[in-house]
Amino acid sequence: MQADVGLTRMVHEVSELDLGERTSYDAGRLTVGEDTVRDLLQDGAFAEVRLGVASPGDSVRIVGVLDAIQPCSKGPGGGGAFPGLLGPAMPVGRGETHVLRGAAVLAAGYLPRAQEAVIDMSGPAAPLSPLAATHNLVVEWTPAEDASWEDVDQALRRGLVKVAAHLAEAALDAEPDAVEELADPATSAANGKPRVGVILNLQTQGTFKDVFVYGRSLSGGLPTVISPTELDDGAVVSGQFGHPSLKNPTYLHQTHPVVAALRERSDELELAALVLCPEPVDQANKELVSAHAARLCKQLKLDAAIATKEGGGNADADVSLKMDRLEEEGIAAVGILAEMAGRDGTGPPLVVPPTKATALVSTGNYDERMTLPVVERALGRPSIALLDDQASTDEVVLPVAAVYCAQSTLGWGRLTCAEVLA
Amino acid sequence: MKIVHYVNQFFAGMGGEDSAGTGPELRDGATGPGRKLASLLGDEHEIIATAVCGDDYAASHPEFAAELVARAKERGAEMIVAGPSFTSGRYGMACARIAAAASEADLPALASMHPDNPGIGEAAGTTVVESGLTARQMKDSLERFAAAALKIASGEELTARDGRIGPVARTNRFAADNAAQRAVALVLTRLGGDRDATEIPLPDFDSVTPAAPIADAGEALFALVTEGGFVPFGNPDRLESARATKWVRHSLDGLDSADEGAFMSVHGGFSTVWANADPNRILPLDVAREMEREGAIGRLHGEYLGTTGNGTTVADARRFGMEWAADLRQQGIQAAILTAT
Amino acid sequence: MSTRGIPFPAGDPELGPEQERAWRRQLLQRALHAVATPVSEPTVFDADPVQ
Repeated sequence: MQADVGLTRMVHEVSELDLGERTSYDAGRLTVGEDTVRDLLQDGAFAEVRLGVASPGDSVRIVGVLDAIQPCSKGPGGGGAFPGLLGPAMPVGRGETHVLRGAAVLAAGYLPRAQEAVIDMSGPAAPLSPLAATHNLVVEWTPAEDASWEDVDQALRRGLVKVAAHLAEAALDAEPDAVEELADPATSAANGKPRVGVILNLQTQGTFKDVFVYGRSLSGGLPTVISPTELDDGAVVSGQFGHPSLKNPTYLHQTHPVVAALRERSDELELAALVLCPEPVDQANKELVSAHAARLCKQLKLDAAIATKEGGGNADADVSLKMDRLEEEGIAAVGILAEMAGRDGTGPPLVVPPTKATALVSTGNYDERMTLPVVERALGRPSIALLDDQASTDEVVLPVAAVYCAQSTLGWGRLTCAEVLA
Repeated sequence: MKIVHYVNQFFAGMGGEDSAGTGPELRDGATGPGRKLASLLGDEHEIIATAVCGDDYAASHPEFAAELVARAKERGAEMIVAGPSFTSGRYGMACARIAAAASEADLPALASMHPDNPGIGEAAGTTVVESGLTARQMKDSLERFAAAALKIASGEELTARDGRIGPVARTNRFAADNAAQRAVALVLTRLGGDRDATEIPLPDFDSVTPAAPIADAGEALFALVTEGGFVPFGNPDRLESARATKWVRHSLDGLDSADEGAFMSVHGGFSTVWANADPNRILPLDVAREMEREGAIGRLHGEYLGTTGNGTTVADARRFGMEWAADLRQQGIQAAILTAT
Repeated sequence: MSTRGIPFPAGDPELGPEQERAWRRQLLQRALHAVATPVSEPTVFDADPVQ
């Protein structure tokens, strides 16, 4: 029998982040070399690039957050991390990967069709966002006059992965705070424990609404199986900027909470497979992809699967249809969904509920309002278009829907719903 | 107490759907089911007037409620009761709006409807008591309605034991574990054979009785409606790209096609590149006009109704639907083609 | 009636202009058929019998 292959994750904790002359990492302190990072971001699509810092507890609001990435590298120049964008488009997920846990690189500003996402680094909204708990390097930009928005989008994606790899490269020789061995399920021997798969639905709706797997969209394709360790190496990079609270940024793919939760319970369950699925825009293809995904799970001899989504109401169908098809194949299905129960929480919570499956986890009500207090400074955008251009530093009332990743069905958050009589 | 009772045109004896466009009015004394209600309320209370409005008018003019409540107050009303409206959607919505407007005006108020009545979604902030499914259960429904009204008149709170119903709110809170950990725990529960464990109870959607088919499309009046975020270029009404709380109407008079640069889509849930390059892809005006000229369609309505269906709450969507249906019917439209995204 | 994609309920950008207009016309003709047909429950009409 072949020995388990997998990934060794070398974890370097970040407890402090600042800008400086050259990039370095030392005992939790990450210094970002400003000139080097600006050079890495240089692109014909930008007239100017600015760098900011936001740390947990700061009185800072980041407005217009697009993607967020955890710094990660497998060696000089990334060593193959972020395949298809930075590294060659070849399978990853084995060997060693260095990550800077507690740090993230974010882009924040305007792109068309990007719904405004907000992160408060302190106050009542901070516990709702995974990126309020990280030390963030925030990239802002002014587009070049002749650049198209598509050019800007691509330049940001390419630039962000370069910066993420560059920052982690500073820790390649540092003593890790933790060394984590992550098994590759493809090579694990049967062990009698229930085999549980993760179904990761990825949005595929074209520019500004797409997710990249080895640098390409899954649009038009069928479900595919990869190892969860490929996520750790940045095989999935987000270019999807709709529905802020439901967003699954690259950061959450790299640190996939359902994968992590299954690893935590490996004494009781086996993390057996990760199935990536496109979210088609028409019903017939949603049904095809769902039925096909369930058959793949059957071939993989799964006992259960957890399905997640990205996007708004129509993506409920991508989860619900898969849950129903899984149950028909005799595979226990659990879905993670956000509720859209209206401002007062009295509406039906789901747009497309399952008809056969029943087991659902809630990430809270999208429509509930919350008040965010005045902050000292704002990054990303000076005003909030959603609120008729109210200043970003003002006290603002926003739906949970606007808080970055607050309801990500990848399951980072603790938000859920309780019933009360109105 | 001096009470004003609200009923729709049907229970006021003015007729059925043909009279649904009737505007609001106040009549002296009790009418229809109000007579039985008055006797059940006893001698200490008097139904001084009956407020009436057609269901279509009420659905398409939400301001009817505040207007009737103001007139009832002028007449000396000390309490307003509405219904029972059973499972009738527009009537239920009207009762909920009347009760809500009365509560807003600091008058004790009560509406009566079946728990499945879609109007219950509009009833937040006011009190609703359960009625039967249909008017066949009028007697029982009125008895419960009267008992609840007496309790409210005496200043007491109505509870579920009195038949109080109302929207159940799902409010955000933090769980001990994150959603991923809870999903894994639910897998173990589900593998253990428990099929009922869930954090989201599966909803029952209400059903709608389909309208009768049109006899002859060549004679019928058609409307084009859409939830594709379809707006005049520049979006003058600032229709929302997501979580819409309103709908818009714009004239199509004199237009043969929904041209690029004249209309656009502000929908935030899909790429609008294709819609903006040819807005007929969202609202099929070019072909509808062609078919109107050929006589395949009797006539096309002079305006379209539109909203954005993207993360829209079911309560808002249901309200838009009832308002559209009432509005179109008042204008004599016989069929609508809804392009959905 | 199901159509060919969420972003273009009354069109199909993969077609040339004339074919797309013919497809839209077919959709509307089928819609006229649908509203003239008695139904008692949710009923899906085939917009594209050929496909």
